Amino acid sequence: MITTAAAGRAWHFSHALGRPTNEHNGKTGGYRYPVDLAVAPDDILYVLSRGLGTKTAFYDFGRIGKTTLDEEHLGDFARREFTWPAGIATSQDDRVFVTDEWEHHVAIFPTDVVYPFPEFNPDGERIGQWGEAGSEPGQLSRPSGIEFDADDNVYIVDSGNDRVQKFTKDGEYILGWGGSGSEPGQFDRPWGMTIDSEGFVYVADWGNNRVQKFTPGGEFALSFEGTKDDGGDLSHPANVAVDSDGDVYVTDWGNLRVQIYEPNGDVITALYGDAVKLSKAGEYIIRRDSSTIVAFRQVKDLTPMGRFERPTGIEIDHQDRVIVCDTRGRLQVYAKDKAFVAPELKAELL
Amino acid sequence: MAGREEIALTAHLMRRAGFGAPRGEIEELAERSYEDVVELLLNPQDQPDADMDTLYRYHPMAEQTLTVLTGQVNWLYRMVTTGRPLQEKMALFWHHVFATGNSKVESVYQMLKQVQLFRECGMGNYRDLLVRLAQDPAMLYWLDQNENHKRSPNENWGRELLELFSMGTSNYTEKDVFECSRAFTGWTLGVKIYEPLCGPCPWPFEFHPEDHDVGVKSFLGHEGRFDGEDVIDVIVQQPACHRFIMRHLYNFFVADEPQVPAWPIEPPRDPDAIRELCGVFVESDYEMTPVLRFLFNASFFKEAQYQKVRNPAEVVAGTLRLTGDMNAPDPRWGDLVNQTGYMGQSLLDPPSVEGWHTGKEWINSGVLINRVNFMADQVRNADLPGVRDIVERVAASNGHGMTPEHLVDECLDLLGPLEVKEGTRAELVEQAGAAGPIELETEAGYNDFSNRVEEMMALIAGTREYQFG
Amino acid sequence: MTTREKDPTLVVVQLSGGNDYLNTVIPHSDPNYYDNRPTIRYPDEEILRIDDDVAFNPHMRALKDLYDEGNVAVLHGVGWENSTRSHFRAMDIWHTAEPDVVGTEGWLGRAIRELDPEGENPVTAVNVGYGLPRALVAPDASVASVADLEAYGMLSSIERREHREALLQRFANMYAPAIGSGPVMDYIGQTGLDALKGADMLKVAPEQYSSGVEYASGNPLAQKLRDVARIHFAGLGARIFYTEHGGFDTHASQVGNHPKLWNEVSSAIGDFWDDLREHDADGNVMMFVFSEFGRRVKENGSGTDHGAGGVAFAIGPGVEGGMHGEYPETRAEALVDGDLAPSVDFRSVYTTMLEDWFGLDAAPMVNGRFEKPGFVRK
Repeated sequence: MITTAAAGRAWHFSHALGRPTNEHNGKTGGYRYPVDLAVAPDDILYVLSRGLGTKTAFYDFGRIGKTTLDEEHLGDFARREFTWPAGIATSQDDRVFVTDEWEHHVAIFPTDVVYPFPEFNPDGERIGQWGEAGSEPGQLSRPSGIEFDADDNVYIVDSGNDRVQKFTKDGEYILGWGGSGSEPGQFDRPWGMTIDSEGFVYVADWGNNRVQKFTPGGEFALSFEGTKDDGGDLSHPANVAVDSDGDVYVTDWGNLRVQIYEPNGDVITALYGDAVKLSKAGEYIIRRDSSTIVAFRQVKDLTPMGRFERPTGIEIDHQDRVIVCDTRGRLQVYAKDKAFVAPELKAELL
Repeated sequence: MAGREEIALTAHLMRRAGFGAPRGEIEELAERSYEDVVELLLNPQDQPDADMDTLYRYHPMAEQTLTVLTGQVNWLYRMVTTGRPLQEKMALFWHHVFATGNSKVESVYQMLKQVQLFRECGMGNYRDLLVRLAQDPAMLYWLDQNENHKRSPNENWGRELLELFSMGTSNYTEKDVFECSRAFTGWTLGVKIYEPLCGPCPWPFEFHPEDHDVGVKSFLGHEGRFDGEDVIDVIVQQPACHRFIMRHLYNFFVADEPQVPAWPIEPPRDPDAIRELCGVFVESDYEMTPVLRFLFNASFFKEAQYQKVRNPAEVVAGTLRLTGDMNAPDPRWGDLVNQTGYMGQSLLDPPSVEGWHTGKEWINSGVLINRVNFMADQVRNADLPGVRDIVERVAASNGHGMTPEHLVDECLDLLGPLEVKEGTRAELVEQAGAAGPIELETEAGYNDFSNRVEEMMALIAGTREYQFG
Repeated sequence: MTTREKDPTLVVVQLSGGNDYLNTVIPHSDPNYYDNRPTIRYPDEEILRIDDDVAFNPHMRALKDLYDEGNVAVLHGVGWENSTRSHFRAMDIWHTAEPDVVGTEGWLGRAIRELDPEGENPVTAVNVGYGLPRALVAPDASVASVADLEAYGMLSSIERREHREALLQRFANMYAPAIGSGPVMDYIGQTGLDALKGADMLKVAPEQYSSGVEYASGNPLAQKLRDVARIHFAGLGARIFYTEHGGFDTHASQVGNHPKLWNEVSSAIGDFWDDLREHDADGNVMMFVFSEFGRRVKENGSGTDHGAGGVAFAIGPGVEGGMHGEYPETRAEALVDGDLAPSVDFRSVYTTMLEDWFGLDAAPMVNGRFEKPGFVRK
């Protein structure tokens, strides 16, 4: 097990899920450029694959994968529904909401139907859709990050308009804030977001290399940016998550890592990806061919395979497990150890 | 305001040293001295790079490439949007010379890394580039260097290094090929991580000393316990190497030569130019930038306007730069990147290690229709900013009423400036006037005029003259 | 130019992705088939039995009918030694007939040059699809590449017909040879005229066509073969047609996908031959169906991986119907890295078609002399 320890806390690499594929063999499956995920009860994950983001590619549109946290890949849906799917969130009544950055809308899906690869419902799978393109309040331009609050209202990062907007889940506009620029409260092409247990809103301000924290109503509260010196500098952060202790995790897209901060913005440490052990989907694909497994055993250094390549979506579940979308086509999961004592310190104490 | 000749020369430079530019940009550049513009091109580090982060955010497939198509999006987007056109053009030049194909390599990611090598080192030292090339994983695999062992040398890389990458045939013996191959034994590829597991991981170059033949080699009249770098040092001293690389440069940047296999028989189009280029090449210790500086400032270059059939990458990227289309992530990229392939140049996947045949061989009946239609559909689409700009410029040039002749000459000027044969011009003029007199005063008149300009540009796109650049 | 309706004509159908031999021509009495394919196999009651050893896939009904009429030659075990598992490389090898070095000229491109040495007919060969497959590429081989027969030609996006025709006339005038314009300009002009002429010739194909055969609308191969038929009926002297159907790379969900693919291919081929017969235009046509390789003998649970030896078909009244060559052995010891060992070199198949069908000397086109399996009727 690979562990990253700092400040009396530790993160143990747990496991990886999936591989870069559209296929699903009944047990394992994968993701094609995963950009976001949503955690539902009973350890169910909905993983949003971007696909190629082109209108013509065969089988390579975005889609939603449904899997358990221990990688029982239950299947996929919404294979023909998106152009540029960007963010995903689940409502309290167990529907998934997906933003589409090209179509400038939000699409809503049921979660109880999956379609075997490569099938889809030609009549369409969405049960709802709202949002229209524009820059007026309530209109959307390149909507990306999406998250529900405790009241089942939904916040959306309206990336093309450099702002955050809050809607009812039926799409009625409630409020919004932001504007283009680099001052506190302004944005430059923001991407992902999250909401903590107290309702504070965190937005990955991609172009400004920072994460901004706001009150539920949009008052600026804090900026996470760090410096090169403390190692907490961000390069094009994609998304953000907060654990039950208030620690803040940022997928530092440009630096290929997950940066972890104290609630006050001090930097704690960073995760770089440790998936040197194969996911079940990886085991499946490598065992299909004896020559592949022989070659794999001869690889001298698996570290490059373990590293994050452009981490995007990030979520934290009820047990404070950190789940990261790795653009390579998989998820990486870390478990948090809140009372970590380093082995050498342990020896000293004994 | 720069004169017509300065405009024409600057446009020529930008077509050759880059992928062309819209008229506004040409005019700005033409305000400077020609030599200054050359220096701008020669110093890419001072110019903005293509915004790859934006591409990768919206199209992660273009970075974590799993298919040729996605790799082509990566490169074509750069060609269309880069602020460092010569750097990109040189990458394409080396891709032509050191042709490596994904059909065998089967890792577009690794192919793009090779192109990145050309981008970073392609304007630097040729000797150093060859050393890096000899260690490039895509090249190692493409030419079976991983099969080149001390006890059983494989000559694929050794042969092509001499024949296609440095000297050309008939300047070395079979023995030299063998000795060269021996020198590179042990330069190999580590075990690759299987891409379907976790997406692409870089392939490792490895030197295996136990598999390296340390014996004495006798190569091109030199003798010693040579390894690969030593062999490259010998190669770059050869006059045949200078002539070969400079002729490639001439063929790519100045004017079409016969196909490479004919070079041992057919003399260069301009032997003096090759001789002068060789002189600069040797003088500078094989640095490419001084050679390019000399080339672009030479009169043989300035006089060679429209002496080359444009390759499909130039056609597609050049047209898009002109019309201002596709300068950002866009779902249409998936369709668009097929265009160069439809025209006979599937980027990152040349047909063989000999690369593409160039010049008139870019044109055949199977691809000409695609080539003309792509350009015509772009230049007659008034929704595109570059096309609107041209229409407005033609309209604004109207001092004393618009004649068909004036319309045609303005269009030819703005698309080039392009000179066409008298017969061609006569046809164009007749078409421009076919629907009666032109007037711009009324809205209906202006719309009709606008349609005629678009139609005229579509026609020009199909002329023989416009196939050259 | 003479019309040459009675000249031998070849229609190549490329199945891209690697078609699964074992589930195309099924060795139904072979226990190894069932051992290696616990889930991806067909039960005895579904297969289209040919004899005690082999059967067609249940979704090849139309092909089976053609077979029963004696119009299908099944070419077993086609491939080459030391086959590659790379799609692209394998396809290159099929196209250039060069398994050992990377070749550039296509075997059919060379044939075109022989069939029309003066380059008189711009539609001697027609690719129905985008771009130009390497098989058709050779210097001085004139080929038309038609993605959409209705909208083929220069400036095809211009909607108003008279307007477009006026502009095409301008092109024709501009491409006309002019004194002193130089060899490259002349060449481009001539190519332009060829392209215009080819498009002009092909334009009549949809206009003249009527048929009682209804090709399936959602089946891309059927639509392409319909274009082939329309061009063939127009009597333009087209001798080689090339088209492709993709999706055979069935690593996963093969049970759902492979039948669908063969439904499409088989019914498209059936429609095509029905159409040819209805027009009494089948006598001089032969169809060749191939894929770049077969698939691994042992399934992976959900699909099959890249393999080696495959099966090809020659179809038409000119072929010697029946089985040709040996089904490669399926015993574990006889497999090469888990793949069927090819029993016939693909270049010998080419040789038969080039020599016995077209009457050409095959050696320079396939880079050597190969024995000739006798699947073309004398």
